[in-house]
Amino acid sequence: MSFVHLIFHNIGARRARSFFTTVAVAFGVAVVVTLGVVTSSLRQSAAAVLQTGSADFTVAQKGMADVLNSTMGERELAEIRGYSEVASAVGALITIEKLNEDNPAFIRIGLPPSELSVFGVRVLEGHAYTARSTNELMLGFRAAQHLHKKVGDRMVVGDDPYTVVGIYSTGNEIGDSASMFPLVHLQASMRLTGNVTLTFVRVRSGTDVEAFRKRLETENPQLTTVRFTTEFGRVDRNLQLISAADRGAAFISWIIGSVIVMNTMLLSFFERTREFGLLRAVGWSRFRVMVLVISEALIISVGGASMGVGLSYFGTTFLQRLPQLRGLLEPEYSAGIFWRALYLAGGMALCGAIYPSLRAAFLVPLKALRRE
Amino acid sequence: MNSEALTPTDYGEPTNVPVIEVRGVSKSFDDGRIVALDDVDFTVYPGELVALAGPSGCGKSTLLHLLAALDSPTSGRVRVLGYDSDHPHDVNGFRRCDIGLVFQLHNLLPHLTAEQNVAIAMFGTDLRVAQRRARARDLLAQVQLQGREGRKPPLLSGGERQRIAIARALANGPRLLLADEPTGSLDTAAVDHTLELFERLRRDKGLTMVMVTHDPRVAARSDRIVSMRDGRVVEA
Ligand SMILES: Nc1ncnc2c1ncn2[C@@H]1O[C@H](COP(=O)(O)OP(=O)(O)O)[C@@H](O)[C@H]1O
Ligand SMILES: [Mg+2]
Repeated sequence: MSFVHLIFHNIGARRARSFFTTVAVAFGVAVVVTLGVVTSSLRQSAAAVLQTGSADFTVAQKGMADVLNSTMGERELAEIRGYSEVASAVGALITIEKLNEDNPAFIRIGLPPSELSVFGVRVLEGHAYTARSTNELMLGFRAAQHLHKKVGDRMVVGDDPYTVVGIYSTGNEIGDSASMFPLVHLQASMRLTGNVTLTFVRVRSGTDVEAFRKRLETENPQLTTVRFTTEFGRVDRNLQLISAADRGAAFISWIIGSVIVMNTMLLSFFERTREFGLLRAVGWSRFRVMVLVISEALIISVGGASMGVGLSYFGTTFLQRLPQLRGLLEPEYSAGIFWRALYLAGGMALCGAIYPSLRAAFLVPLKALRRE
Repeated sequence: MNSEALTPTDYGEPTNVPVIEVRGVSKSFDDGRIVALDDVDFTVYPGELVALAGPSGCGKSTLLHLLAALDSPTSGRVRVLGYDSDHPHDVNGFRRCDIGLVFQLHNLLPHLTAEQNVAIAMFGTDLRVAQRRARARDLLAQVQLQGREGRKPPLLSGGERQRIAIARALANGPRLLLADEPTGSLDTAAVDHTLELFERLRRDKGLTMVMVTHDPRVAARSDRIVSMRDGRVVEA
């Protein structure tokens, strides 16, 4: 019998209890993994808005609850364009419209036709809208597929009738699932004349992007810049809140999981007092006894982690179907998510097992053996 | 034969370093209210089989526990092989390898098989899993439990359990076997067999043995009988 065999044997000897502890850990892990998947998915899709286009970085108004509430005026755009490092700065107005129940979050991007190529838009079919038109739009190819629209089709967006004049691609999933309008018309119909949501900046080659971003932010304290997906929280408070809730849930479920594991291991400690005393009496070191107890907890918890990941898969699938989240949630199971589950389970096992294992290790063998 | 070396009978001038040296040992419990051992002196030489006799409650088990480094004396000094109660170190290695201990209650783990109960004592040695297994089976065969390796203690008789405990005590080839009434629950045939086994281990391996016993047959096979009363050695 190997040490590992003994660990599994001991877990199997208290099958029901081990199983229910596994289930408890699994639920904790499932909640945390699901929230993690949702948060990172929301971050991905929201941040993709910022990365639509082939910019080096994106500029937004600082301190917005939702990035799409950001507003920048013509003066600010001109200021950004004034920097010698800037090769191009494209201002885009981005709004979200409810098309129908199936498409609660239809993204509209307002952009002058002259800026389309700088923005990284390739027209695949048809042609671009004209700058002054009020009834032309282009659809990203994913949106066109999803809405079953082709060039020449008509559609209503926000009470106004439009004709689909072109199908485009940006090479970015969110951009390709969105729609584009002449900037002037979108500004007018949103009553936001002269305003844009985000500015997409491309720098001249040879510019130190990070240094330039920092300078731009210090010289324009009302603005903030975003270069990487992970920085998205800088402009979007909602996402900051979700991330905080996510961390909070992880912490709470870690505590609860640890208590449950501790309860199980303590129960097992009381039942097995004689056993631990005997093991010490036949020459087991304290360390070996501790490793035995902690390993049992670890195996139970890691089993819970894998069960939890499975549960969370069903959880996210369910959330995905919720009308409020439809189209927003693109769950991605990254390796990071699995590590998260594993770390959490490991944390529960260690914190839960450390006290019972110490009690087992520091039993006085003779006293333990006298226990009935 | 070198039986002289293994069975010293001339205590006046020992030819060997003692295996056990107990000097002026007292042991009390409950803050001195219970005196289990009172100024005990006790010496055992290599290869001896010593029977420890005396009425219930006279301190036999307590003495055995001190010898097994499971407890320390209130005063006095216990030296057993490399272990010294004044300077204890590597107590685990001592318990695991230098001595074998058979408890008064056999203390087997009920959810492990006979074989696993023996093998459990070999954790922490250099033996591989397969070697531990083979050795456990061999030891069980020596106590005539071949065919019972896969049974769990609750399904075995008292005598069979006792013999598993003996096999476990011999797991790591100890030089000293300490046994608390090892034949207490054995029938006559099993007692004879166990005594033969002890005799053989003594002869072949030079095993030294201290055995708590009430059984006159066991006492008859021993080299000497140490009698205790009220925590004192009354007759050696
Ligand atoms: N841990 C303990 N706490 C209190 N009293 C004890 C303890 N262990 C033994 N004793 C007492 O010490 C005396 C000797 O016990 P023991 O060595 O078990 O006797 P024996 O094995 O000869 O029957 C008894 O009176 C017993 O009650
Ligand atoms: Mg006793």
